[in-house]
Amino acid sequence: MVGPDMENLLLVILLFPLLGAGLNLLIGNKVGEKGIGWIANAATGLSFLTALYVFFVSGGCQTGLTLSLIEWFHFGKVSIPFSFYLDGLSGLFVLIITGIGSLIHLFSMGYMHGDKEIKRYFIYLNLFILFMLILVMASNYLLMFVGWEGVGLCSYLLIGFWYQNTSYSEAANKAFIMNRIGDLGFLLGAMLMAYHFGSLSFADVFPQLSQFSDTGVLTTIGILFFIGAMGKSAQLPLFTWLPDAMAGPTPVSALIHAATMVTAGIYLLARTSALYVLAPLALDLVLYTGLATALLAAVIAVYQNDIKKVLAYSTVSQLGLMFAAVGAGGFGAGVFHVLTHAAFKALLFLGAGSVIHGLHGEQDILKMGGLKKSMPVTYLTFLIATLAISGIPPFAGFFSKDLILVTLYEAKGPLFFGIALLISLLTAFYMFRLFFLTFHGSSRNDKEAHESPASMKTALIALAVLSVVLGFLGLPHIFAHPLGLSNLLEEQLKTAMVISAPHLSATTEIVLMVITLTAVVIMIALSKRKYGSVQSLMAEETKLTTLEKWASHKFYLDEIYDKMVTKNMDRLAQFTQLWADELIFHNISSLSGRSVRELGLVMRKIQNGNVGSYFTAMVLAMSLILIYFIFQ
Amino acid sequence: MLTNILILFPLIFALLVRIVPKNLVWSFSLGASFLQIIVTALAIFNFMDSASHPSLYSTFPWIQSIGAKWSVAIDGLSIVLVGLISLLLPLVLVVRRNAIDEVHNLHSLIWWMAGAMYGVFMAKDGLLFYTFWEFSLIPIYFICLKWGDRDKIKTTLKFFLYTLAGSLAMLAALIYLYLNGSGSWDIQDLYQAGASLDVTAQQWVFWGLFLAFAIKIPIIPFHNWQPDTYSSAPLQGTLLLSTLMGKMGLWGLLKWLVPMTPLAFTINQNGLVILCVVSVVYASVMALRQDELKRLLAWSSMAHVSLMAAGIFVWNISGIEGAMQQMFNHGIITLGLFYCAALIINKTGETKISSLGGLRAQLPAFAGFFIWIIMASIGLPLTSGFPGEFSLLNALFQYQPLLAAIAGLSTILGAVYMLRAYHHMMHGMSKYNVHDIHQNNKALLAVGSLLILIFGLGPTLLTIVFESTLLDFFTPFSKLQ
Repeated sequence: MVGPDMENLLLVILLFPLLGAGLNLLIGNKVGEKGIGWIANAATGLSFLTALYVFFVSGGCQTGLTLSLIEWFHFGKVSIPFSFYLDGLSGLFVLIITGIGSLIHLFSMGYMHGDKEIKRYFIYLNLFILFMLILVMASNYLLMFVGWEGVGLCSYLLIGFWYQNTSYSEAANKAFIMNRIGDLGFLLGAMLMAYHFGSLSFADVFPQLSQFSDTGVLTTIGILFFIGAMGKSAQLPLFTWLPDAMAGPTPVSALIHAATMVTAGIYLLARTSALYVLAPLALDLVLYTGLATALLAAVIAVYQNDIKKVLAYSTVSQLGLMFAAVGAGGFGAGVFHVLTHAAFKALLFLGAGSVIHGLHGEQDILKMGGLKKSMPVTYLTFLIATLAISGIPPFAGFFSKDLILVTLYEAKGPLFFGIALLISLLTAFYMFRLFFLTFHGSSRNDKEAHESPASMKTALIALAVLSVVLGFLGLPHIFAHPLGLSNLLEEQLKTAMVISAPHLSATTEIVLMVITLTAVVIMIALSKRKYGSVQSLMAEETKLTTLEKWASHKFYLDEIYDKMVTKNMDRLAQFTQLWADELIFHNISSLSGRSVRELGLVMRKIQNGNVGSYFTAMVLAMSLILIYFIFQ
Repeated sequence: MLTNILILFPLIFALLVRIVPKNLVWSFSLGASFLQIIVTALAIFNFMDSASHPSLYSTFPWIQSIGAKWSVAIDGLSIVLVGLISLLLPLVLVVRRNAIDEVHNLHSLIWWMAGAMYGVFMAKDGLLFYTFWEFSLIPIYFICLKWGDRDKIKTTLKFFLYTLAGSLAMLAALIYLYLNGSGSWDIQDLYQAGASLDVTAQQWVFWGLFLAFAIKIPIIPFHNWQPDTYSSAPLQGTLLLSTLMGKMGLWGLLKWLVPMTPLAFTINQNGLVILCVVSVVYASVMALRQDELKRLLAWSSMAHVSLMAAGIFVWNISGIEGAMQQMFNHGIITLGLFYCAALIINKTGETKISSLGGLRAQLPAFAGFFIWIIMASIGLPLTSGFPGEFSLLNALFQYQPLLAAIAGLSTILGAVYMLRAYHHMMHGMSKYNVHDIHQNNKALLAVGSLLILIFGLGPTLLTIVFESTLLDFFTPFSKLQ
């Protein structure tokens, strides 16, 4: 039974991070580094506990909790209230955001220890949690956009956190601007939706969809929203900001650029699943974009040597896989992978943070190696995460990736399954390359590595546990049925969005699974053979084929964008200034100015101060007027 | 009664401030501007009480021989702009430049201009409107001429000639309307006179009025005076021009142009909306090229006001609502931006963005305010810049989706040039040895930032004031034809 005050708790979930940020802003200077950290941690933690309470007491938010406050604004007849909504889908996301968020806050206490601007850091982090919660708890698209742009702002502030480094703050600008391109798509989509449905509230729009017959409009809305998702979730062609975003502190990369914000695009599509199933063309676009991004990013990841860059491309690639699943109609599969990915990718980033922390800022994996002994906890947890992302059972990634592969096989056939499989193999390869180069072999630098402090280790262990158990929430039916269990995740999501479980025969599913697993294991073995025990700085990396060179330079996409967009935009601006503004408008105005002056010179001759000539002119003029009136 | 007070008090202050002892000028102006705020608040209070409250109207004969009347009124629409003047006046007045000479002259001119602008937004009589319109030009001309920077004589002359040309065209159009009307300058009578004209005559009147307003806003191709003037004028001048005076042109479009010549408007609408959208993109693109901070802000401001003009020309409720909201909020945001620019220029003596750098480390509090105001300027949700801009784009979208997409480019370009400028000026290693800003500056920026937040969280605080008046005033496009 849902109590009447359960709705009010939605506000409490939101208020804690706001309170944390506000409190730190006001008294942060007085409570010291520890105090700041604890305030921020308490805020996120309490928000998580409240969310947990609401989630379980309301039975997974199956009935949907709505809290409507006052109106925010309206345009025309469309009203946008401050109204929050928690159902199976947003409930799950709230738990991911506050849960993983809490762990990353905890980790940050150790990681950011000693930074003079730690107050600013934790204020941004709490604000981020707030906006992310608004994003998923909004009950209409424009309030969702508040969170959408709010997290963009926090991301901008945190990427450029160390602002004295200009390349960092340039990365921040790039992230914000690329997101803005997507955001325009989002806004136009919302306008089109408001135009045809007269509302932007989920509860008003979705019921109308079944009677709505204009597929063209639905497809356009779908594509426009997806353009928004491309920006936020770093998909082709708007993904190049995410690798650069690694300029931010590593916990930020874990929280914002791996676990939560970048999955907002998936959330948007899953939330709008009722519309997308009616717009197959838009879904096809999602599918192709997702697969292309996933493949491209996976190839690039193989040739990266910066530990965070590898993980960044890996994130882009995994997000691509999620979009591919969504594009094939597997909204549940996409969300499932968001859930498991949030755990293991956050763990990977935090592990990377722990390594960077332990090596005093070293990020090049070619210069690492042999950390297994000096950082045992990091090593073990990183191994779990690597196994999870590679899709080895029983780790979480296995289940979600398997569901994606099966969905693709069923909906789109063996070819798409094959591409996704290839992406998975590449994933296993580059992840184990990263793993072996970092932890195995012998040390290739002169830095004294040390294991991280307790707060960081606690977060790592907690995430490692999650990376194991979360997969069982989406137990495949072929395992669940014989065991008398159910697919908890499907149960959780079915009222909130379109869910379609695969209907393949058990044999087919098992065959696919075995093929995948075998191939992945072979891939890992290959990776081990090549990178398992590297002793000295590798020379082979310098001898690259053309394709490899391209891949290591991310196919020169940044350069292409720079040439095609930035340069041309500057050229257009230059052209506008020189030709339009200076040549035409300026000259017109100075020409008219000059003619006025010349007219003035003529006029001055008339005003010669001679009363006689004035009188003559007056008489002349009056006579002319008289003549005009007489003869008109 | 309140209407007359709002107009006449500033004119009286303009005289009084000349005889106040020099060291008391600031306090006097500040006190006087708070008085204006109180009177405005009273007017708003009365208006919310009853839209036809007697204190909001005042009519008596002025030049009886030609039927011109002193006729001023506050309605839901004009109160937004009246409120904006009252709100911004103290902020404009307290802005200090290093040892400005002849403060009492400057303040006298500002008060004069304020009185005239109150008049412009309240006038219900064509001749009175024109008189106030011209009356506001004189003080700003002297402000720019006397306290301006380099090139001030040339740029001020240009500005003056431009606006004067527009004003003359407007005067001719108004006289023509008057001659074809019932011998009255009352706005309603002029509406009737305009509507009764044939298409050709309406076209003449339309373009005459349009010229005056388009120059003041400004939109292309009438904008050439603006970047020069904004950058060479003293801070107070720039603030008056960008936050308040440009709104006179938009106000003209809304009240004195479209309803005046409905037929001509319906014929020209397409071209006008496109012109405004072009103006939005043009100004945004030009802003990309600017290295001088104040010029960049001038172009950015032009992009925003052009979008408001587009919203008015689209002529649907969403568009006009958005334009009204943006007129108000853009005033506050632009004041904040130019104020920040002035602080930077003051601290470093540097006006070029590319020469600046690394200021954030020395000016942490300032950096926080500055980025917040920039975010408002580029329309981040929950800042006051968002709701109006969204309504405007949405209005364009209803008119023609493609135009909304094109005008929407300004939200991307805005982020590009604003964040790029912020990055160049504030980030990187510090180059200057400057102290963080003074408490007074902080207070002023805090007020601005708070207003941005308040009207971002609660845009309805504003819309509730003008909504019913707007619905009364608004004639749907189909009925204009």
